[in-house]
Amino acid sequence: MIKTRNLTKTYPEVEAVKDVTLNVRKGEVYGFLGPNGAGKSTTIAMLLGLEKPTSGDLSLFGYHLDRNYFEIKSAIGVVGERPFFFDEMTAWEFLEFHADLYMVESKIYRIGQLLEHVGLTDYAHMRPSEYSRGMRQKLSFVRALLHSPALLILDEPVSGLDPHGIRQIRELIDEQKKAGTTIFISSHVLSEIERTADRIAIMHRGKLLVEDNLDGLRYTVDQSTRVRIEVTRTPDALSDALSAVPHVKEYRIQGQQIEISLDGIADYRAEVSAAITATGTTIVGMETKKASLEETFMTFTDENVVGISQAGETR
Amino acid sequence: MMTVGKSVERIRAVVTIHKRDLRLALFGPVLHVVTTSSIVIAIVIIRNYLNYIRSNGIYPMPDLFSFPFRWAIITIGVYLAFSTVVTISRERESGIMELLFYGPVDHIAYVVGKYMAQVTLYLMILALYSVCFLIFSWMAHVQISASFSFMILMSVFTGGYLIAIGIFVSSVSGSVRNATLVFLAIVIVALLLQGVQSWLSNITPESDYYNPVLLLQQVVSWTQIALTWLSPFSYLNHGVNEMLRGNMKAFVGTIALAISFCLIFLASSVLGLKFRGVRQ
Repeated sequence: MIKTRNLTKTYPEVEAVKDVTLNVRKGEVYGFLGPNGAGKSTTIAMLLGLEKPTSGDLSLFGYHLDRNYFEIKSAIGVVGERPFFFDEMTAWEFLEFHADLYMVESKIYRIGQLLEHVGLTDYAHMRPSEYSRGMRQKLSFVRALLHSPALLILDEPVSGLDPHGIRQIRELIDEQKKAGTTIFISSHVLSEIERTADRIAIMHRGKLLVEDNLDGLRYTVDQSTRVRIEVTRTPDALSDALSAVPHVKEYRIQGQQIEISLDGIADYRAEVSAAITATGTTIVGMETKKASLEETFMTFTDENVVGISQAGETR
Repeated sequence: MMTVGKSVERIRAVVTIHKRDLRLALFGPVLHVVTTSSIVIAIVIIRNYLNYIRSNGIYPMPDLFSFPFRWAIITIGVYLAFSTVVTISRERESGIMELLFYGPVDHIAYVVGKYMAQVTLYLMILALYSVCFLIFSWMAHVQISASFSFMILMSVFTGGYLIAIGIFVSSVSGSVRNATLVFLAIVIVALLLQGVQSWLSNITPESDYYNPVLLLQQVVSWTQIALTWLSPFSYLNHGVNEMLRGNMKAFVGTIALAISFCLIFLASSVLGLKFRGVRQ
C-alpha cells in the first residue's frame, strides 16, 4: 500500500529523514512511532506530496505520486494533527465543499449519514470554530471518510483530546480497521498504537530504527518472558524445584510471591505450575508480564541515543 | 483505484475552488463596499465635469467618462489583486492550503482556481460598471465615445494581469504581512516612478557633463520604459491609444502581450508555490 525506499529529506540546517524504507501492507494498521522531532511529520508530508524528498523513492497503491497524483489523492483520507477548517463555513458547508472536491456521489446522504454516526447532526449548521476540540477532530474524521478512502493517514489523531474524545476517535479507527481500510497512524500516545496497530515502526532522529509487529519488537528488546505467581506457602523444596525446570533463567521468592524469568517467548506455564504444585503448595494466582510498548519504545530510543552519543565520542 | 483522467480531476478541483472563493467574496461585505465606493467617486468626478461644462460651456476633456471609468476599474483591479494576496497567504498561514493539498488539488489547480474566481468577480463588476456608465451617459445626455468600448475590452486583460501579479506575490511570500508589504511596495514603486519621472523632467541640469540629475533622469527613464512593458496599468492606455490610431495590429499585439505576461506570472506562481511549499 505504501512503500518507501531510502527516503531522505534534507533541509539546509538539518537532515530530517535519513534513508527510511517502509512497507505498509494492504488492510493493516501501521503504527508510526517516534519522539518529537523524529521525522514522522516530515515523512508523512512526503507521503502526501507536501514535501519533495531529497532522495529515495516512494509509491502509494503501487503508483508514483508524480505520475498518478489525482488517482492517489482521491483514494486517501487524511486527518492531520491540527484540524484545519474554513472559518467562514458551517460544518455542513465545509463537508459539502470536500464532497465536491472528491466527487462523492449522493453527497447529502453521505454527509448526513457520517454526521449522524459521530453524533454531530445537531451541530451541522454551526461553525467548527464553535466546536470543542473533540468535536473538531470528529469532523476531521468525517471529512477524511467522506469518499470512503482505501488508505487513512492519521497524524496524532488523539493528541490533546480528553479521555471521552480519545474513546470516540478510537471507536472510529476500530470501525475503519474492521472495514478493511489500511490505516497509517502516527502517534506518540503509545497505548493507542499498542491497542490498534498490527505492525509498528519506530523512528528516531530521522532514522527508522525498527519495523515489526509488537511481539517481534518485544522479542528484539527482551528474549525472555516474566511470570508472577502467588502461592499459599513457600516450602523449602520450592527453590530446587524451580531450578530443575529447564527454561527458568532466574527466579525470586518474596513472601508468597514468586517472580520467574523464562527463556524465550514460548509458553512454559504448564511446566512451571507442575513443578511448583509438586512441592505441595497451591497456586492462587498467575500473571504473565510482557514488556509494554512504552518499555520497548524507550529501550529502542534510549539504546539509539547511547549508540549515537558513543559514536560521537569515538569520533 | 478509479481512473477518471488527470484533466477531469484537475478541472473538478479548479471548479470547486472557484465556486468556494466566488461564494465567499460575494457573501462578504468588503467587495460590495469597495465596488460601491469606487462607483460613487466616479459619479462625483462625472458630476464635477458636468458642472464645469455648465459653467464654462466647454468640455474639460474629449471623453468625459474615460478618467472616472479608469479610476473605478483600476481601483477594483487593485483591490481584487490585493485580496488575492491576503487570501492566499492567509490560507497558507492558517493551514487551509495544506488541507486542500491533502486531497485531489495540485499546484496548477489551486493557482488556476484562485485566478478564475477573481477574474470572474472582476468581469462581473466590469459588466456592472459598464451598465452604470451607459446609464450615466443617458442621464447626462453625453454620448460615450468609441474608445470607451475598447477601454472595456482592454481592461479585461489589465485586470487579469493585475490579479496574476497578486497571485504570484502571495505564492512566493511566507506570511500575510510579507505578502501585503511586497504587493504594496510594487504598487507604490510603480506610482512613485511615474511621479519621479515627471518631477525630474522639470529640472534643468546646469551642466551637460557628469551631472547626477542627468544620470537619474536616464535611470528613471529606462525604468519607466521597462515598466511600460510590465505594468498592467500602462497596457490599458497603450491598447486604447493604438486602437484610436486605427492600428488594429498593435491593439491585438498589446492584448497578446498582456495575456503572455499574465501566463508568465501564473506559471511562475505555480513554480513559486512548489518551491515555497504549501505548509505553514
